[in-house]
Amino acid sequence: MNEDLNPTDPDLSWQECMDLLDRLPSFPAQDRVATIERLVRNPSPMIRERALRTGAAVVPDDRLVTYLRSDADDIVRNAGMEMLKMRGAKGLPLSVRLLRDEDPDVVLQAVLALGHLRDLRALEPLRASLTHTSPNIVAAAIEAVGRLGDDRAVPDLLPFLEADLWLQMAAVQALGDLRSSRALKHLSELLPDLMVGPMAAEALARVGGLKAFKALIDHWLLFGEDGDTETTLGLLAHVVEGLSKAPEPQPELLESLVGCLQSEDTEIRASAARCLLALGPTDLDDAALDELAEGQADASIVPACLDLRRDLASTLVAKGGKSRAWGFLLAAKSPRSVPVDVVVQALTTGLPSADTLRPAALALERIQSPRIAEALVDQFVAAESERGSVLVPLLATHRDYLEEVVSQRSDLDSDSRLVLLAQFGTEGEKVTEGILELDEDRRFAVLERIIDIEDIARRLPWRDWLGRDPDKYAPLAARIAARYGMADLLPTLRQLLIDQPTPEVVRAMGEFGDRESVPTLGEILNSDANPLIPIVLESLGRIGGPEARAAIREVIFNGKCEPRLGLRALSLCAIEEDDAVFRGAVGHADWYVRLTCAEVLGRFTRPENLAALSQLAADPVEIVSKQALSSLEA
Amino acid sequence: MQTPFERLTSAEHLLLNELIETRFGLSFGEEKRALLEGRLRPRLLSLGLRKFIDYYLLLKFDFESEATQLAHLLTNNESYFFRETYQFESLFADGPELLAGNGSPAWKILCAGCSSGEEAFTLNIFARESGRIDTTVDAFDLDTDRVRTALQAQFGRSSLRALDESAVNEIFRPQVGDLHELRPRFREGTSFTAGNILNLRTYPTQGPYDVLFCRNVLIYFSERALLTAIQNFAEMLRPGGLLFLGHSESIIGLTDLFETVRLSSCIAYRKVEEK
Repeated sequence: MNEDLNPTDPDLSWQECMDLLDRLPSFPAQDRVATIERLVRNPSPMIRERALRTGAAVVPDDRLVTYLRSDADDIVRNAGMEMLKMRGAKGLPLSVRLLRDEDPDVVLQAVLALGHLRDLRALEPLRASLTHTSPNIVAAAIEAVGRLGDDRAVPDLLPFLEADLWLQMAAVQALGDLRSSRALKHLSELLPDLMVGPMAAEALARVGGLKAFKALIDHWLLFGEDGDTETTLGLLAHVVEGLSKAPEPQPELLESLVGCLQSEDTEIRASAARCLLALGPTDLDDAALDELAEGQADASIVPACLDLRRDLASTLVAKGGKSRAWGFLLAAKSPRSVPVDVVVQALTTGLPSADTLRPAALALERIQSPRIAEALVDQFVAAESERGSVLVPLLATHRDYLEEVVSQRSDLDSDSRLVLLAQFGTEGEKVTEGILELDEDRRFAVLERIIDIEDIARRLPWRDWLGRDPDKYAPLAARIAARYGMADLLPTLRQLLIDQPTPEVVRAMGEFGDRESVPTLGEILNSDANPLIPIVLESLGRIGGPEARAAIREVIFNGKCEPRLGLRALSLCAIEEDDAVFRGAVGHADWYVRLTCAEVLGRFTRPENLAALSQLAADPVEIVSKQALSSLEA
Repeated sequence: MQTPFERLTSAEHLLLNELIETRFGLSFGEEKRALLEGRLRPRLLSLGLRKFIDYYLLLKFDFESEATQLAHLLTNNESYFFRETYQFESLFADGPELLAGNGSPAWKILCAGCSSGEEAFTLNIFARESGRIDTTVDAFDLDTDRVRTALQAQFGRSSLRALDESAVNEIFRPQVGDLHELRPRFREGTSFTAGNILNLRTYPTQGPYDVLFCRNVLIYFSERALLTAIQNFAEMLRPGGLLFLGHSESIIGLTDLFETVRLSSCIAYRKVEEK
């Protein structure tokens, strides 16, 4: 990073501007403001955004008000507006004060900022602005009141539905935002209006409910083909999906939706499909399902239009792809909706896709059958060993049936049989014996598939294996030892740490909090450019104690580690006498270093730490300033 | 000692996003935090890691060994044959005039971020069906698993969703199960490699290219990465060469290396002539 950068230099590159922003926390206050005023003019959205965020935190109120008054300089005025918005709740008093400003432009910006804030404390001041002499301010105040979402404001807004178009549009928007059924009648009456009708339809959709649906349907059947079909149909779908019980669909509506299902426009087809499914069951369910699956809907959640359609669960499971995932999710809520035959059929068509796996596991928890266990074992046997492991979560749902199924199968190879037996949880001894009989390569493949089963992991002779082939077994043994707290393996792991340290062994020492390994870890730390240093630091931090702290401090001071990793490690085990290290780093260019400082300094309440935290509370990086504020509050 | 796996904290999210952005250009902002957590969690489980910070440290320890796995987890560019073909139609309708200055009737096309090859093969099919049989299509993607799929040229039903049965039969031959193999004549002239849009050294070396497609990839990029990508695309295209991006992607105002050019049914970006 170039320390000589001059923020006023007009030819700063993108990277130099980013460097300046990184260094901003270490600048004196007036230099920060000057730099921000320059950077808000930068053509890069990212640089402008960061400059504005910093400005929101550090530019004083009176300076910010001068920005808002900058008639001649749009960039500065907009920057002031953005900073005011970015201040969030902290900006409320200033915004409220500015509502009484003599300059209507400043008042307008204050109203916009309050609308953005969505703080109910702004309701009364904004209601007062509804009587302002400037129509622009009134329109902005109407929309801001709507955004606050308090339905007590409905009577204040209704008169504007008969005002001039500009205010009428603002009122329609605001009434939609308030989502109050008190506005339904008034909004419905506006639907035929050519100018505000489309906005009223949108507002009705946001209010939702049966009355809004009926109003929209009536309007659709009268004018649907003449208006913006895509939008109106999308709104209808949104409203009908939100109803707790679908109304009986009118034949004219169904006929119209069938036409839309044939449209060339994908959005129209998708909305028609959503409406039909939410209104179903109808004869059109199948076509609508295909259309829905074709679209953008995510496989991991049931689309809203299918939420009440448990009757479709079975059809969906049988279909495959995204539909199958939705079917399983519905079946998980309502297991009787899908017959075992259908599930078995679905399981025999191949391994579940990544999208289907979780929904299938949820459903199979609720739909239990020996035939399903059999189908799962079939799939497990047919799949290659690595791919078959995706079935383990599904097999776990049918643990109670597996034993019988496995005992009856003569086509299982011994490795698969072992992995399946391990799932029972009752055959530990048998599985252990089986594993010991396997040759090294096959054994290792089986071990990787059953490592999550603690009972078996504990029974195995890890020390022997480590002695015979440490390269092969060390990573797995270290993981298992740390995971299940198998301290009897510690001496062997310590020796491995000396002879051939790996990330797993180093990490295990940290998990164990093993102080005896600190000298060895310290040596690795001081070896030149060892790639293990990040993991060693973390382990030392987790182990803690004077020796570990000393080792970490040493590499921080001699620059042998990335500052963020060194300070993070020290933060894990820091005591009060370390706080000077963190105070000295509050102006560091790396946000993560400053975040760590903000967290650690909050633990030790010395006056000088509070001063450092105050500096960090104005940090341009949000997570840092939040942590500092939280530490200060604590 | 066994403890439950922990959630992705804000700081871990920012650390991982920073690393991913630097290496791959992909950005997982706050709105995609849950997505990132969901994508990475299975990897943590299989590595036996409890905390996301441990995964971050593992990446700091040896990024290269983990890069393939990570790329596979993070990229999810589901594609299919004949998806949004209006740009292809425009290219083959207007391209002969626009690309007349390349001195050769054979076009060299590059697909950056090609996923499992559906787009590159569709371009190749268009080229062959419009009589441009000398056209070559080179393609690359970060995810080596998807590149492998492209090389095998075998696709499941979802990749063929935009095709009717007769088109499927003409372009593919059925394989075992649900798979369909692209007929050899539509594979000729294509090549696939693993590569990183941000790293010019990993691009195919048969440039300069006449046309470069990179659709629906840059939307996941940070601004910094986007600027690097544009620079790299400019390096790979000959002067006057055309760049096609996804319909929601734009580089207007971000660079003076390209100018917009209107084709019959879309906009493309033309690399400006060197002065």
